[in-house]
Amino acid sequence: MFQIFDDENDVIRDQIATISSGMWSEGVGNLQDTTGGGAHTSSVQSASNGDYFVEVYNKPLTDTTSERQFAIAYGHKGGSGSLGTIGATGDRVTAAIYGQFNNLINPPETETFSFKGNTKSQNDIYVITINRARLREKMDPGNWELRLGASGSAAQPAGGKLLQLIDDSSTNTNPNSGELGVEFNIVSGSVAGGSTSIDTAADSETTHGSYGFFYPEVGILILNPSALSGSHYHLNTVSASNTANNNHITMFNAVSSSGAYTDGTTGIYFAARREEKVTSNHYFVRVKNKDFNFSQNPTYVSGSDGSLKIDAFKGNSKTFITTVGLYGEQNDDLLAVAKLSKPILKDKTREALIKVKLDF
Amino acid sequence: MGFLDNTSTTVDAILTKKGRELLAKGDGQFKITRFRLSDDEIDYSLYDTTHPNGSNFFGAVIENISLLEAFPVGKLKYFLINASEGTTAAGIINFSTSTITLNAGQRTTFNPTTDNVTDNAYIFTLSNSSAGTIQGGSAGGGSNTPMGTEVTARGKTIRFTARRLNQDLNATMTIEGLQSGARISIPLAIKAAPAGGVKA
Repeated sequence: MFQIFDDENDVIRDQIATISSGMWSEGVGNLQDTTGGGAHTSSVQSASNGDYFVEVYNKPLTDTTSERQFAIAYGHKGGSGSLGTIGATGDRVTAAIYGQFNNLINPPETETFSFKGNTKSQNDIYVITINRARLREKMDPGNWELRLGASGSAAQPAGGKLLQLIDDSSTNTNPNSGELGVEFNIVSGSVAGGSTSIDTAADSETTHGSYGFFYPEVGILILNPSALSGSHYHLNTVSASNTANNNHITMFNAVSSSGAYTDGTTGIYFAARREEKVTSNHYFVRVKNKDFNFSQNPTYVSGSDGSLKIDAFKGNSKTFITTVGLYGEQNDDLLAVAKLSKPILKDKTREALIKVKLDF
Repeated sequence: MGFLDNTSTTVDAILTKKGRELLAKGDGQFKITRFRLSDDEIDYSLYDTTHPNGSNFFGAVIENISLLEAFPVGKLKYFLINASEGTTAAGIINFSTSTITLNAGQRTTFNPTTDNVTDNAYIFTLSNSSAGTIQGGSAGGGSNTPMGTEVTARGKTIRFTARRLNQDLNATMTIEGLQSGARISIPLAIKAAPAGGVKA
């Protein structure tokens, strides 16, 4: 038999809660090089569209549970760092990448990227794009840290440091809102232990500009190669004309185990959380003492005449609630169902309140 | 001093296939307004009135079982109902036949009655709309109903017309008493039309 909810007192609709979780596969928050997982590439992908970007996996491809996590690309306005020039054969893949993201991110009539702190035109960029399945709704601003290791022995300055990148959402109270949603600057710092610490603010990066831009709603990080080649990191970006310099592989090495820092520093990882809003309805199922004390269960009543099978229930019927079925008002189709973890005993001396939560 | 009994239970619900379908339509049809309670999975024969620890433990075996998670398909099977104190018998649905076999285009009427309890209406559920159409009752079985889906209608009686099919088809008509919660399932066997018909 149906019981009608009192819409005013028994139902709370459209409660929105923000849920955050580890962004990488299986809810892992830290894509790390040292303990299991880490960053791996696919030779199959490298052979097909690997000139354009490199897909980063959480496990070696020999592991059937490995999944794509993010991709790395390198773009150059003039096509340097890749094969081909204007009027010659070659796909000019770095020019294609640069144009692609310039088209997506920058306003019309803008041909180059420029970063906070030094607004000079930056003719090349690194791009990190988070896989859609990992991102879900958005990347959680202020809750990611990318630690870059060495990209090659020749590039490491003596006494150099591991580069730790985060966004400036903790201090940037009025971020730009551009073509791809909110835009934060990428700065050096850390979020270790849950507290954000920015080493140098984006405005103060006057030599090369900030380390990049971060677009949480689409999961894109644009990195500034000039800043990465700066005084204390020295990522070895090479951009020769009509030459496949594979800078995206250089960046992959910096985020993968193969880029372990030459001074022995460990802890290269990409830690990140994602965020999604979940809408919930709450239904308060109030079971009064005199209600639902009888059952049609075939072990409760006889199928031939409907008589009670348990003598002890005669005059004091008891039931056990296991399931709540939720129905609409227009027809009798079951729309949602909730199961209790254990049966609840019900008789005329007991009332029950079951709070049912339905997420969308 | 001890902890108080926590009488409020919080559980998560899942959408059924039908619930997802209505939610996806986004036309406001998905609005939960009613609930029913069930004791599916309970075997009352485990209620032990000879338990050596006394009456508080008569239902211990039942209360301690771990229930299965909710299924997104199907429906609740056995319902808990209200009954006046001292009730000793549940409603029993009477229907004239236990199985029905129909030829293409043939009609039959479902007009159940209930013993022990008065049912003002019944919920008729046809397991497969490909088997036929329902006339009468409050809803269901119209020309817009997709083939192969479950159809429900509410009323005292309904008429069922078998479709013209190109092959035999078995389905089930389940009848639930709205007040009694009693239910019976009647197997339907639809025979293929001699000259063929629509694909089942």
